[in-house]
Amino acid sequence: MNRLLKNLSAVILLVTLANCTMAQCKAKQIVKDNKKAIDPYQYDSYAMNEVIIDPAKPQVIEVEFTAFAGQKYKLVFGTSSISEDMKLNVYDKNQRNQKRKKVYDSENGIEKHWVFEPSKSGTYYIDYEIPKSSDGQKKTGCVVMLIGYKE
Amino acid sequence: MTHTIRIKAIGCLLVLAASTLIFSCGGNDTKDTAADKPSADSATQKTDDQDVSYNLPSPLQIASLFKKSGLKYIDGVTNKQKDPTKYTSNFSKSLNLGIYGADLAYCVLNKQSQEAMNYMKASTQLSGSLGMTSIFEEGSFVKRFENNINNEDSLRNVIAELQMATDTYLEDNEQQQISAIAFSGAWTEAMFIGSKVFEKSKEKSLNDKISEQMTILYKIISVLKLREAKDPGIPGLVKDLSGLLDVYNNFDSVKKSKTNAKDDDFGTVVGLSDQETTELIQKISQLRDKFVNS
Repeated sequence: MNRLLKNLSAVILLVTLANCTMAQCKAKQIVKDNKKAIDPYQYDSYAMNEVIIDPAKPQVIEVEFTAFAGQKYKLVFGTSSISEDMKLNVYDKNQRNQKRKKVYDSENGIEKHWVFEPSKSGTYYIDYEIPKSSDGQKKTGCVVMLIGYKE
Repeated sequence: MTHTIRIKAIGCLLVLAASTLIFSCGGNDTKDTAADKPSADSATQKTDDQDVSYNLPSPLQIASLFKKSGLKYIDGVTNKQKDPTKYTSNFSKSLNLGIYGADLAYCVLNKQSQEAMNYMKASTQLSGSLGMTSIFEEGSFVKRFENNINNEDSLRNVIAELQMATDTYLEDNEQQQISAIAFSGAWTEAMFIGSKVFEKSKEKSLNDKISEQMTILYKIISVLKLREAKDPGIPGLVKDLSGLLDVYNNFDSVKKSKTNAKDDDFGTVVGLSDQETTELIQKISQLRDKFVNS
């Protein structure tokens, strides 16, 4: 019985550690992998979201990004551990506003970048459209947006 | 071990395992879904069953925005407290790390090499006391800063790389509250410097920039609120910054322009009256003094 308890403890520990490893996005590596794409713009910041690819339903994650008039921006989008074909759209208003306009969409998948120069300072809303899991399994992955700017 | 105790032991083990799985791996102060994992300088808030993450600009970008609006150098306007050992709590260290960062950017952009070096050293020391020594060692940032002290473009690159290293370090080590507090300090310092230069120069473009920057304050407050549980200084900081935002939102000029900092159309420049500008600058100065003396 004691051996059973010991084995059970070991299994639980391993599952917990494995779960931790899968669930956490490592910012340093993901940003490092994508940072070259920012050139020749200067790094400003990044936004990273861990996403759950759910077999039952698609979902949307929205990220706000602040842009100032007079600057030029390059947004680089990347993913890690996601095989599903994600889309992203950029809007001038948040998803609660029905009058919002799309200013960019990824069309062929998320691994793209967007260069723009806002005519006025404002908030842009990046909507990541996460599809249902393609293999029926629940899994996690990461989406990252690197922001570069120049004057 | 009796049969009953064995069953209880296994039961306890299973409950413990379930709890570990649920609450491990970065459980934070909100209902934790993977989509809620925020990055440095950003945070996620549930709104109408959707997740929204906020992303804040870097102190270097804010400094360069002010510079483009006519921000000149005034000797003595930056934080006179250059001994970082005076800051003892993690909260005051984080806050003044941001303030030093803004001062560093201001000095670099105005070609004040020696002062820039002083703030770089102070930032290094303060970061070390917050557990971030490895960032500086890995990137050789201080040496690179020294080697490029007379080249503004190179210094900006060094600062940008340091920002990236800091952002990812704090994210990976679940210390995002340091980032949020530091940004609050950096933003306040940038606003303080901008307002002091404006008092001397009366450049309208600077006043417009101050007004424009006020409209990201609600985002800073939103990001801080999501980290409240991670540092006891944050609730007070939220209160202080909310007080500043309330002052701004209650100006007649702001009310008349129907601009509210929470609206989607942020960034609209509001022409403040002389009295409103004076009152805003006073409030910013009070806050900044509180932060550098914390």
